[in-house]
Amino acid sequence: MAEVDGPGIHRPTGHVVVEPARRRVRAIVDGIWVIDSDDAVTLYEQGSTPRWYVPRTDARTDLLVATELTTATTARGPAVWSDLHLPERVIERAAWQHPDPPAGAPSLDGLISFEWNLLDAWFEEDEEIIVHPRSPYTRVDVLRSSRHVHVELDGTVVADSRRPLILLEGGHNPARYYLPWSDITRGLLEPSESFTACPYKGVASYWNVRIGDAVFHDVVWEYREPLWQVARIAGHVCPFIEFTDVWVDGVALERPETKWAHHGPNAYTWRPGDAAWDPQRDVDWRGDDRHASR
Amino acid sequence: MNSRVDRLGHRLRAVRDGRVVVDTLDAVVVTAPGELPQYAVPPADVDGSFLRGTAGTVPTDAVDAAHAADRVAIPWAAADRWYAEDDEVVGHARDPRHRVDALRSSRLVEVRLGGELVARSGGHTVVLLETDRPNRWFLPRVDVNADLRRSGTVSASPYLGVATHWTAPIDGDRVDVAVSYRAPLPAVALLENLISFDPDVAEVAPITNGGGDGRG
Repeated sequence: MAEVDGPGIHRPTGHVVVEPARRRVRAIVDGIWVIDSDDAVTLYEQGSTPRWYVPRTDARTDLLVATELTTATTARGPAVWSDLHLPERVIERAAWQHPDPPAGAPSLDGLISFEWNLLDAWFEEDEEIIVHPRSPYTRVDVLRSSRHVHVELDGTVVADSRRPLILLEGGHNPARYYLPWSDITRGLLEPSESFTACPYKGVASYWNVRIGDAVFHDVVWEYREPLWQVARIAGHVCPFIEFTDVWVDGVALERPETKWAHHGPNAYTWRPGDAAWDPQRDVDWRGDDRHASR
Repeated sequence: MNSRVDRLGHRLRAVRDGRVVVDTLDAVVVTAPGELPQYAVPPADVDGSFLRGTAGTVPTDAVDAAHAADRVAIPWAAADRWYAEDDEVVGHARDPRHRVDALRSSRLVEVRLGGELVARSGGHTVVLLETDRPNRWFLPRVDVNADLRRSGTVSASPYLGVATHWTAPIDGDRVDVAVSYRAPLPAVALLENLISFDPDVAEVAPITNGGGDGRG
């Protein structure tokens, strides 16, 4: 089944689908609410995470100054960019519109969208949302399981558990095995400075595995403070099944062909010194999937 | 329109009369338009006598026939209990693309029954957003000024949990008007002890109020 993070076959299909978001959407930057809308729409585009567009009348368009900049998109037509003039600074390329979508694409007339990472915080109703809007078609289940999960690296046992939690996300990602800390071999894991963020689970920190002189970077992650919807995974760590040898009930798992398998465990993590790193914040969720293109 | 077939990705077990009759790592869920999702499993993973007695067939128009091929659909009601890994699933099979979000909201919510204002709640309201269903507003029971009583109606949702139904008098008749979840599933734990009026029976009006934005 194709990996589509958006409306499935029970809805109109196409490269771009727009649906009412059905929730109040707000965003704040430098203490100014630049978006406050009960009429936001969610735009789904194949291969991208969902985005919100709001009616121009629900955004502080009085702070926007149009630029000459226009960039091309295939599915949504040209994007026309605006700068956001705040009292103390100007954020360049903060917002864009699609005045001229191609034939067959939904009309985005009168709608505007803002760069997620350039604003300070986004809210659905009163709840802060990180990284990007959550798709109403991406379900996350955390299931208690009694299957036997055995994890090795280079022939060394990293974990052995008979009480995993199995996390299923979106109906297309591989099952992830979250194992209690007490079932992890002591002394192998070293903290990494990498982290990632996810709108469904929270902020993950990473662990390196050291076996003798070999260090396997970022092959284990943990949500120390998971979002309450998946609170069960607190106190558990998850090995990258793409980069470790895993047996479930004695059967060797095939390493799945995911984007991580292709780009490495570090491809989607952040470390101090990275462009997106902001030392002013103890937790930084800025930066979505880095390989997403607009 | 076609059905959709999704791999389940977890162990699925069904119990009938205290006996495990389905135990599989290879189930799919078939979602046909307008119908509840249904599990389909390899026949080899189903108890023989149970299979002969109860199994249906997967719709042949399934989108990805390859996934559904060689599987049989097991009607939900044919088993007493269903388990996703070690967690029980209630109500019906879960569609892996069906999401529920419970969000705290500062909006004021007004509820009218038969035209009469019975609740005006703000500060602790939660809105439930469920794929393909209308939004539902949940409020503290203490904010409701109506003679609510437990109904005989029973229902369960695989996404929310087991519902308690409530009746209230409308024009002299007791009518099911609201639901609550005493033990909501973890993903919607915020709903605990809140009550939601059926928008088909009650008039439920969320009112946007201020949120540091200078509005209202």
